[in-house]
Amino acid sequence: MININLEQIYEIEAVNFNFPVLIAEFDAPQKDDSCIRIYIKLSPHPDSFLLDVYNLCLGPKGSDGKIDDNIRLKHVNVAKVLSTAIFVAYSFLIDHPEFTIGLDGSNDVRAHLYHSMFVLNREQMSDFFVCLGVDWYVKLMRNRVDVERDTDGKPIFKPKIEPFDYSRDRRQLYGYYMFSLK
Amino acid sequence: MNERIQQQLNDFRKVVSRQQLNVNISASPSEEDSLSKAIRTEKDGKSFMSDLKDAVKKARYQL
Repeated sequence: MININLEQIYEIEAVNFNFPVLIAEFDAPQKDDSCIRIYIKLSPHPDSFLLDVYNLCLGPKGSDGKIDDNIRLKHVNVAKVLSTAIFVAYSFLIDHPEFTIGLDGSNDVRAHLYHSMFVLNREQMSDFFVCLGVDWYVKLMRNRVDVERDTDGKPIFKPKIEPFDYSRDRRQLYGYYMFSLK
Repeated sequence: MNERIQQQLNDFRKVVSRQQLNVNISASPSEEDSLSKAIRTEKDGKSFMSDLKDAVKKARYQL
């Protein structure tokens, strides 16, 4: 179980905040007794229409110099790693309360992780944040058979955002997870 | 806010003020994600941002 506790975080070793991008780093002990440097990056959402949305990215440095957020690590304390990332986001939001942090749940592993983190830490997260979930939907056409499609024939998925519904279990994952300052 | 978290925030701000990033990690903008794919036009973006504000208000009210 992942217990988010903003009082129990790893020491932040360094931060580079060159607005609008904030990068923080800390060392996370691994189960093989090694320690790996983890980077947290808060940066504006790439979509220019989503001005107040920030992405949170977390992971070690990849071979391309970017954060590798797909790598599977064996942290000694996953909860502490996530708590550290959430704490950094909290610090950022205190100074920039107009922003909302987004977490992409496009792969099942991450969606399960974020969903569990929100559900199992409802009380702890609610002390600091409001949590939101985004579903995708497609518009059913008038013939009630086909759905709205683009010029390539692909279904047009649209976002539907709502306050996080804590009654949804892990079979009802959202496509995207967000949180904003309380 | 409890004292422990306040102290951590103070510590964090001190680290921010030192701006010491030892390893040069890319600060490039975040890459396209599933939300980007669902926002196709400016109208979609404006609509989503409006819905986001409403959802935040509603979520705050529910607390």
